[in-house]
Amino acid sequence: MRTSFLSAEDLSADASDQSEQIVRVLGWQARVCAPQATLAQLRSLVPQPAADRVAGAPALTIAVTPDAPMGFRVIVSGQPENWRVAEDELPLLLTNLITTAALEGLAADYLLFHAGALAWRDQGLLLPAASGSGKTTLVGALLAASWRVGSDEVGAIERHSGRLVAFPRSLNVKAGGRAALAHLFPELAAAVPWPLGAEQIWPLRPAGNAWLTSAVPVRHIVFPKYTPGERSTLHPLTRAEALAHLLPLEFNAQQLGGAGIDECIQLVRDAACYRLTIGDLADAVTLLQRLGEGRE
Amino acid sequence: MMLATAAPVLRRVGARPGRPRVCAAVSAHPLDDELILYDERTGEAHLLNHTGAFVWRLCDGSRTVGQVARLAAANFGIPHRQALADVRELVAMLNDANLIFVR
Repeated sequence: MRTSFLSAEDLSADASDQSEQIVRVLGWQARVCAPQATLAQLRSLVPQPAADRVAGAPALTIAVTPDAPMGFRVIVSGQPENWRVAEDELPLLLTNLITTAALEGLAADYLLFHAGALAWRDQGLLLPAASGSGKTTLVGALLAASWRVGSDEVGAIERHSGRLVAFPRSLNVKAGGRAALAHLFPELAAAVPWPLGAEQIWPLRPAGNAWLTSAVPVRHIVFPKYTPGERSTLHPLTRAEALAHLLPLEFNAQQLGGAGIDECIQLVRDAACYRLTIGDLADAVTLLQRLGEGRE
Repeated sequence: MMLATAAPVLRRVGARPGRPRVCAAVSAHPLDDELILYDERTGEAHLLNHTGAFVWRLCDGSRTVGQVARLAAANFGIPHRQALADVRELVAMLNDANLIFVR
């Protein structure tokens, strides 16, 4: 099934009243009750399918209500704790709450990896790596090179088909990534950062037509690691090495047990696997571009 | 973690004649001629080369380290003394990673 995503430009914000929004992530959905301006920001961070294709009750309800003097209180259904946050903290907090809940809700139907995900000419590329490895920066650079984006954070593989699909949300660019990507995305240089805990985030919103809109086979699994001062290189991995690196980066490995591991084995059997040392970002993109075009 | 090529050498297990046995929470998955060990308690994965995989399969609680080493020596055509040192080292590392226990 093909789908498409609305871009931020398609959305308009009416900053007046409290409103309600169904937020869909693959086959999972949440209901969010919040000020309309917050919902508009949320839609820009979690692009929504242009066509409704999910029925049934939302798995989660999030209510955002004014709470002077801090700003807002966030209450999540089924959870005893709530959050009191300032207005500028709301969008990324909501995005993270939705992402975390969606990962749990989708765990039975998808292999979910801590990974960047992209496609070049309907050939999927998975970039599994822990936080701080340079995934978001690399995904941003590949986006600028016209790759289709699935995610900078969650690689979602349909269990029934073994194919990669988009887990759409804005790219959470941090300060280092912003410096590296500013020449590719001038809007990052001018943007005001949003707080997320102790960090500052510059959301990078791919255009509606930049998203991966259909399920694609995973042809390459590349484990990136940003290593300042090193030359950008691509080293082949054995499939067993790749699997040993991949399993700890699977969000739902423990839930899926042996069946999930067997599906991961099939994934690495069907893909060519590499370790990517990222020194110079442009060189790393060139290496992946050659890989995508079958010239590596 | 690549156990078969890890550097530290531990002698704790080799100092006593225990019988190594794999932990129930660890599943083993062959891929090509290597073996991936997945620890469901921690979510960590470990990689054994084909030599390590041979030793792993013998760690069923019925054999001492010495007996495992004799079988490894015969299988790979190496001196028993060398096999014993290698098996002790590997078993110690697996034990240290809580992938096997020695009773």
